[in-house]
Amino acid sequence: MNGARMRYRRMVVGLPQGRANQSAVEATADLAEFLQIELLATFLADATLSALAGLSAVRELRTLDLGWQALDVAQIARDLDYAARRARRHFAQTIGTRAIKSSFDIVTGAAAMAGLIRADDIVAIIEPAHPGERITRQFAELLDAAFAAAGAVLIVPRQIAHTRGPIAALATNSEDECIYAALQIAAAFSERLVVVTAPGARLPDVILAEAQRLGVKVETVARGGLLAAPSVFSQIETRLRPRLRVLSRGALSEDARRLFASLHGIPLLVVAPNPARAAAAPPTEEEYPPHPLPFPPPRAGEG
Amino acid sequence: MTQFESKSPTTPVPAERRDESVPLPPALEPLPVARLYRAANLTALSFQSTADLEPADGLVGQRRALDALAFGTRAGQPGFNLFVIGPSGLRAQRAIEHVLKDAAGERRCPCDWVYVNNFADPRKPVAIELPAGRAVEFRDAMRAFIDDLKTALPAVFESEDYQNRRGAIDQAFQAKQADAFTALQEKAAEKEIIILRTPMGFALAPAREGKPVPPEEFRAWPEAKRKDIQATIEQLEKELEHIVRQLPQWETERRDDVRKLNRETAKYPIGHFIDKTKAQFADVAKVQAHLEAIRADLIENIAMFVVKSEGEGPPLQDLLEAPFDRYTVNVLVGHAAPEPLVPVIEELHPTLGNLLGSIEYISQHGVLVTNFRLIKAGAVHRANGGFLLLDARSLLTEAFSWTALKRTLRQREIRIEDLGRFIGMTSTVSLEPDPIPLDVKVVLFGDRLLYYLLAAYDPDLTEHFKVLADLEDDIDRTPESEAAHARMIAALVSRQGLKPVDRAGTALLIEHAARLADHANKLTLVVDQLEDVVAEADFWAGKESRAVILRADVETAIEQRIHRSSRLRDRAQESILEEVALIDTSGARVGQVNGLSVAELAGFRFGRPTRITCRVRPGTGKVVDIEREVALGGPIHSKGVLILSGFLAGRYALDTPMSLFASLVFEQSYGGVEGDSASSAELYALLSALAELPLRQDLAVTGSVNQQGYVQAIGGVNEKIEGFFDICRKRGLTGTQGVLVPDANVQHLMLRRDVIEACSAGKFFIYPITTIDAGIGLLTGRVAGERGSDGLYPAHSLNRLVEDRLHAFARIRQSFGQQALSSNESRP
Repeated sequence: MNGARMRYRRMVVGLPQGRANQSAVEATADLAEFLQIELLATFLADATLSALAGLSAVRELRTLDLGWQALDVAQIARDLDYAARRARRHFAQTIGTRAIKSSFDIVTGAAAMAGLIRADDIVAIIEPAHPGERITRQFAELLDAAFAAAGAVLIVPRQIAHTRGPIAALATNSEDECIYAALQIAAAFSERLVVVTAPGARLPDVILAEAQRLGVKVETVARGGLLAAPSVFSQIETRLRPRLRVLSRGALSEDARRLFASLHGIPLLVVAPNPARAAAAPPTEEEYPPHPLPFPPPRAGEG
Repeated sequence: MTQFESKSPTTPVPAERRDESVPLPPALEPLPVARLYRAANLTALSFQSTADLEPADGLVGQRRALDALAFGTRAGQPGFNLFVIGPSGLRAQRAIEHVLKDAAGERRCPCDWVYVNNFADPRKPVAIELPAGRAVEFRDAMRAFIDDLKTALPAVFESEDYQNRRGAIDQAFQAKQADAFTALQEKAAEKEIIILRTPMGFALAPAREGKPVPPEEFRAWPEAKRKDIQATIEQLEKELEHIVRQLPQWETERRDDVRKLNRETAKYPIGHFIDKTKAQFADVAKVQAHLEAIRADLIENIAMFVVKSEGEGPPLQDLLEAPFDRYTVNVLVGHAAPEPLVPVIEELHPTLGNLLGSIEYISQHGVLVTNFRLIKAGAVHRANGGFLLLDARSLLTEAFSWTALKRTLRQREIRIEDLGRFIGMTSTVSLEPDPIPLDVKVVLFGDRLLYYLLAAYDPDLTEHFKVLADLEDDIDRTPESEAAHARMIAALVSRQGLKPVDRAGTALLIEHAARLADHANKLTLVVDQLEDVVAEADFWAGKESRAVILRADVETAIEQRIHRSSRLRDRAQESILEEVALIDTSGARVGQVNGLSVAELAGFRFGRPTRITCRVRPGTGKVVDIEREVALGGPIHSKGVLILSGFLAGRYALDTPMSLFASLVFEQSYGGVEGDSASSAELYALLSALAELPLRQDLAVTGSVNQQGYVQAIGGVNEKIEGFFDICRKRGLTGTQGVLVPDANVQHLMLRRDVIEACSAGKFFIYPITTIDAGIGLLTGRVAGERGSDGLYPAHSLNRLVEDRLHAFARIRQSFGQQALSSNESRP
């Protein structure tokens, strides 16, 4: 990994009850392999479903035939078992002969999931195959658990647009944590780093020195030079064709569940602040000329 | 055996004749040497060797055929194709091609033809006619068009504008989905209902603080509340189901939007290249139509060419290669520009596929598939606009080819026919390419037998091959034709790269041409035989390190050719000389004569004498041909024998029933006998047997006879004479030996040099015979005689002796009849 001091030690990918898109799982495994970190796949088997089987008010809409039927405990158990085995099999196929440590686990709910996640984990959330899955309680709990506990959350679209290309860091300031994370990842991928930042912003010497040490070519792109567009993401994709975007959690404005619509096939890594670097003095506004941010400011309560 | 003393070499007289009242037959002079061989007359041509002569190209002496070719090649109506016939061994094709190439200059320039994809029905490729030389241009233009598209299309679909618009469509679609589900989720949240994922679908459940209400807690709620929750869930279930049911529709709309975007995006670059190519072929309406079809197909199917993400799917090159194949051009027939030649195509192996084209198949995943690019042209395609040369025998021996050719000529269009489908051997999907209008003149080459058999048994022949070009076997021999032959020899020497032939050698070749024609006053036009002799003479000249072929080389070549083929002839002569086969060449015998026959094997002919004998007795008038009785005699031979009966019946004992029994046989002949060339010999034997007068055995006889006693011409006269001469020479010429030949055959005599030398020295004689009476006089030394006014032949004449004998037979038969009658009357 070119000597980069990797902040992250493990990638945890949450596999849904429904069928996970194989190329997305592959992309997750690729990242883990390049970063040389352990890959843990977790299958979320919601235990509450069986409990709800006793309620007559609760029925299941089966997407195959769009028919309603009462929840059947035995049937749910069978379906969960089948889905878990299918997920394990596909995961094993994905791992194949990759030279990374991997494991597969079945967790019974969000709480169990949350207990599993560590601060130095990257939690990979794969875009569900069915759009309805994004509004389910399980998905919401997965996202919450990931954003609450993980060092970074990787949002992976169903179809990956590029398997080569630069790593784009969408920085809000020159000390943005996403730059450091993106730099490490760029070194691991042997790709160049493109920092999208405010016009006139200059990257700190420590980043440049680290980039030089890691042998990563760094470019900066000014946000102001981009055309106004419904989504900054689409502009970045078109011009730079990055293989990965990196963003700090603080800059994330959208509801994570709505992020998938904006991905355009490029995974997004949302990094949490680095406690080690939080001790450094935050940049003052005088360092940067005022410039409208491309994103709305984070809503209160959102991390 | 009666001995003869020679009064003159021509009219031997029986030694025992003392009665001067017995008339001698009139003297019959043998042929002078000058009539036994006609030398070449090249006095009008001044040359030392053929190198000094202007070679004669093309067909010499074939005015009839040339006129037919001139007409047939220019006649524009359907059915006026040509059938060229000639003697076996005549290889006139090359010369005919020369004539065709001249005629080709008058035909309009042929067109090019291509096959292109039919987008509406790929099973029916479209044929497009282009001016000569432009098919390749069209193909190359389409290749350039495809290359341009391969570069331009990906760039267009990778452009920022397209990506943005495509992203907007996807985003809108996803947003629509997300909004619908989010609205549902918010509505559910308001009513404290949560949506859960099950392994196979979704479920709605009552919730509290975002978590499912445990069942026991729910059951503890008041009934009204439970019912209310239930009703809410049911309502939300309907909405959920409604959204889920709408997903496919939204997906369809998204795809339609993408498709519309792709079409709009692709329109400009595609239109640009299409218009550019259209301008290049503005003069060809079908190309314009095809390019418009390509435009529509490209725009409709542009999704095939949209570049996918890297690493997804096959490599870009593979992705782009196969889809563009549908726009390529299959050049079926292309001609050189700017001045294309009218084609003169010879198809040596006229199978159905080679003739009318074929459709090839390739195996993909174990299945045979084909497309318009796998259509292959046949000879008819390549010859379209010009001439197609075919060997008739080869055509007829290939399955389905003859009928397919006729069908093509009748329909006047070229349809490619799949042989496998014909005979039901393939059931894979095939093609039905557009037929191509036919404008070809077919020239068939064949031998005469084949042509006349076809004319007799195939009524279609005269429908499609109305022009017969009948090549002559030979030409009248005149100083002009001899000079032409000399130039023809010069041409074949030049063509084959042989040494020139000197004047004397050329003369000998011309004389040999007459021998090959079997006629002193004709020259063969089957030049291939002469070509072989010259080639061999060239070899012999080379052996002697000569730069010019001399007469001696030509003689050697002719002798060696005979020598190589004459093993059977030599064995036959050997059997005669060893008296295994009995043939007398001296003395005289009653009822026995030397007939002559000719055998031909593999183009080599040789003559040999055959003993013919006859026995007679009283009978019922039957002349028995023993060959016919045992089925060894062919019908013509049998006819000849029956003619003898007619002769006898018409000449002798007209007042008496024919009471003869005679048997005739070819002694020691155990194979089939055919032809009537020995019928005069048989008649001599019969007359000898009846008259009890011996026939000279130092003479051989050939010639057919009619019922009136006239001797008629036969074939192979030279070989027959030489066959008897060889036996006489090997036994030692006696100075009286010779051959009786029909007078009508004298014009055919081109005898060997040794025969001529013997005749010149008075050791061998050739007698021309016109009637049986003349011949019998020479053979018996007794005049035949003419019936007098008293109705009788002169006493002691042969005819008198014959008639007296027949009367005697009649009396014997009559007396037997009376005895039988008396015997019957005396029975009680």
